[in-house]
Amino acid sequence: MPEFSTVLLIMLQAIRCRISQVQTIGLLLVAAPLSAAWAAEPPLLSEQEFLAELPVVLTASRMAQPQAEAPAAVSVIDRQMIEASGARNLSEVLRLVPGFQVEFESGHRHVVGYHGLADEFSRRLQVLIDGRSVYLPSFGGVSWSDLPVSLDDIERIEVIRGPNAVTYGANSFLAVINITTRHSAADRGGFVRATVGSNDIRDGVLRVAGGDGDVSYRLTTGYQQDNGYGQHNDSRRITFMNGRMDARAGERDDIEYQFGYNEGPRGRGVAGDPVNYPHDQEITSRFQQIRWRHRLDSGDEVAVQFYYNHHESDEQVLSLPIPQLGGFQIPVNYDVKSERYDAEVQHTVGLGETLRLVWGAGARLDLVEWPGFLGSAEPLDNHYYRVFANLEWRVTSRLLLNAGVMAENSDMTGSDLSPRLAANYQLMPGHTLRAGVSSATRQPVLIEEKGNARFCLDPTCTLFNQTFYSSGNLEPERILSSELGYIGRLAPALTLDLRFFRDHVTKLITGFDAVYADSLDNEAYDFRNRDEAMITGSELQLHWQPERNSRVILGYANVRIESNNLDENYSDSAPRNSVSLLGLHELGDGLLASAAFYYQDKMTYLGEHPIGVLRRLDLRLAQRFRLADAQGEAAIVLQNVLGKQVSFNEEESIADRIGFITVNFSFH
Amino acid sequence: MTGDALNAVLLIGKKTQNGTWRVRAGLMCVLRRLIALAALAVAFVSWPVAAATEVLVVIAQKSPAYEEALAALRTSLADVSDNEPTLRVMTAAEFSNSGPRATDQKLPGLVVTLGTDAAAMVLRQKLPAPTYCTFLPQAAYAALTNVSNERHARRSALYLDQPLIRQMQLIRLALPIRTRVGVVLGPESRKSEHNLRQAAVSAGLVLRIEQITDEKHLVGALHRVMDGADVLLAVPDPLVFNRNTAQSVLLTTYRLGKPVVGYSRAYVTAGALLSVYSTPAQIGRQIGEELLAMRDRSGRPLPAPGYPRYFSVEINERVARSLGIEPDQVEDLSRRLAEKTTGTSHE
Repeated sequence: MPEFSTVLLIMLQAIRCRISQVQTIGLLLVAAPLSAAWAAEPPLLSEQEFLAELPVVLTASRMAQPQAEAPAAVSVIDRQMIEASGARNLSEVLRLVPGFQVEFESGHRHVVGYHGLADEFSRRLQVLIDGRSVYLPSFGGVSWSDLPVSLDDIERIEVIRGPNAVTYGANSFLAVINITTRHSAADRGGFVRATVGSNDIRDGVLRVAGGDGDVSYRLTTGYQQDNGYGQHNDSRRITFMNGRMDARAGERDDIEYQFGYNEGPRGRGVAGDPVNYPHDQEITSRFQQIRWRHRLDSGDEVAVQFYYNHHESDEQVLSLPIPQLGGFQIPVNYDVKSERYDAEVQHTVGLGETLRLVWGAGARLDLVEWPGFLGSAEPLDNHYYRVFANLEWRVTSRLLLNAGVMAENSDMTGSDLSPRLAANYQLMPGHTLRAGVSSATRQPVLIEEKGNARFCLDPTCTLFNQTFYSSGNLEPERILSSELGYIGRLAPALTLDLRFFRDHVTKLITGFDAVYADSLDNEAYDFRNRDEAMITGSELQLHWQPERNSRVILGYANVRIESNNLDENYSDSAPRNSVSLLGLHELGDGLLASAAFYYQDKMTYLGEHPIGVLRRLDLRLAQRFRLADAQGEAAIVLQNVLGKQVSFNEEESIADRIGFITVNFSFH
Repeated sequence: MTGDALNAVLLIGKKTQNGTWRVRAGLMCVLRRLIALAALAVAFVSWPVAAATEVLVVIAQKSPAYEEALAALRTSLADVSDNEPTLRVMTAAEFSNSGPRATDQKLPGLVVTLGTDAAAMVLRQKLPAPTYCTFLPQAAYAALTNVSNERHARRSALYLDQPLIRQMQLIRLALPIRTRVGVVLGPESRKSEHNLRQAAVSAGLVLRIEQITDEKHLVGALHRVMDGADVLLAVPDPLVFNRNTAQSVLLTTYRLGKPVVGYSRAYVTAGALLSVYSTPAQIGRQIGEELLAMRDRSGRPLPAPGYPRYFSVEINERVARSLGIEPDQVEDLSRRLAEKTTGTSHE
């Protein structure tokens, strides 16, 4: 009767256990004063410490891909560069990437452009935060001030220079900005930052993080304010909060959950404009995201992700009395609400030693409620589906091939294919050549496809003016990018990333003034796919670390745009030459100095006045210190030290010197 | 005490560099050797005269790691066909129920234990038979033998962990420009602080140490120690490096762009840059060789407690590439490491 004996054994053990508990309690009572010494006796170190399996922490998806193996040109902005740059805004950090321009249209509308083709909304870049696209389905582009993320929580930013639809999905067009926040297990304890400066700069950040081995969390909240350029009503007051939880369910499963929230008034309008006079828009932006990763026996991985983005701008005004209409005040509704639901599944499969396949599928629903500009009180929707696959083949130890394709289908534009092919060849250790051809599409956003802005005189909408009227039937924009790259370690401390590119962009969606009989001036804004552009040039990035305490990062880009310029002046939308130079040095005893210099030739943002040559210098001096158990850092930052210059638009954006002091403490 | 003394003789003989120290160490050596010899003499007299033909092997439990070690042990014994020792294997639980007792008439010629629990179980019985504790961390053996006061020539150990100098030399070889080594010590590993400092000095490395007494201070300690270090050396301690903390350790150091040198294969899989460790098979092989050596010098005592002769080096290529490190080929590293740390070899 083995079962019986087993039961008996268990019972005996249980009794024994009880006895030992009783004994222990007795002993504790007797030897209470000695209990501290008792508890200090640690268990013996076991061989299990050496044999035990550990969960895979640094998975391929958590690590930065080595640049020499990436199928595209990648610039990495790491934590040290973010801090040394002196940036107070996430967007500003991107100036460090060759070929990028970052200007402020207003204090809260930051324009990040790459290789030109950008107006104030810059719709041709994809931006992801932890795999979540923050591209707005309403205006297009990214509203950088409304992202519920703190610069302090960002681990690194990878910028893929060139299209990468296969890996990052739709609208990964001219470039992809891939922002990674820190895993919550890498934070413990508290963090506070306070920033005070000119131009009414008042920022604060508070973070708590904790957890044990299986579940860790981080909660960050903050406030940010400034007066924008200071010349207009373009101030902003941002309140944000975000949280992240990482949980491990067994050895094979990870769950990551994030949420975020950003709200507050942003100043808008121009003095003297009867409709768009100085007023505030109220922004509410929030998201939730959950990702589940499951590792299979073979080392393969399945990841499922779902996220929800919500962005809302409340902005209803009554125009000033219009004398021509007998002092009537026209109600203007700028309210816009956009929502995005996105689900994706991705499977990474190792096929033998040399092949790795990443494939997956995604579905997305965009809802945009924008009565003033889409001519509908109900939200308009767009469904979007995609499947993608990329095969990485290590042909020999020196040759790596990547072949991939993305197929997409959208309500608005039907089906499209975006293939990619890239080869990386290691000439000798530390020297790699890369050649690639990559394509992508940019889906039209709702204002382009279905714009319909009417200004009415009464509730039944007697038409006063029609400013937008999209004739629709737009096709997606297409890019075909070919490139030749070299990544080399020229000396032990000097690496070079060199790239020659040729981007052929066709079917550019461009706004133009079309004839519209019912409007005041017989014109309304429409969109069509007429323009095209050929962008050619070269980029280089040099990374030099002469000693442990110093780094120098140089970026240079030469960009030439040729275009038919039918509806817009695309040819002048990028500076011919641009340079970024970041130097940082640890002077010792916790004192750090850094300087960033940027130069760009003259250019003209789409639909704006030309801006001249820009030279910008930012300086930062920081002192680290220890205060009891806390580590602290105090820094003084001077931005745009060279003084006043026209930034985005000749008339409206004169950037001046800004200075601020920022102090932070970490309590572990 | 004798075993420790023998060990100390070896250590001091190797490590002293300063002239005056050498003289004093020399004197100490003579003294310790005398003590050791005295202990050996005692052991010789008190040992059962019968040749160690029956060997009792006690393993913690039946699991793949112990089976792997046993298989390698049997293979290395089978290499010599004649008069090989006969092995009797039992688990710690079986030993506790039906194993030999100190009062038994007939005792095995030698008891070999695999693992900390097996060693603790057997040593507790205070058998007069010589006991060879293997496959356990040095710290565990030290703790087990400190609380007991029997004669020492009857027991010895083959550790599972690597000598600190071997780990330091590995860092020196694999990461020549990373000369500042960070270490976070807990209540257990704190005991090896002195040895760590010695090993670092002899490998030409600068050591930075942080100590913690509570797991929740780990991330802070990592930040502090890595502020002035180029590589983190993981030193086994249940409080600092375990299944729960692996995530914090690897993510924090990766974020700082600094590699971790671990002590097990699992650490490399999890995300350490490299590890030097001995597999169960390598330990099994050495146990077999030591048994044969004991048989050949029959009646003579156990070898001095020591670290594994055979070891493996494992590199996480993906982590290396991601951190922009180009270490040598594993084979090359292992070979050079074996040359650096004499008396050892890799497979």
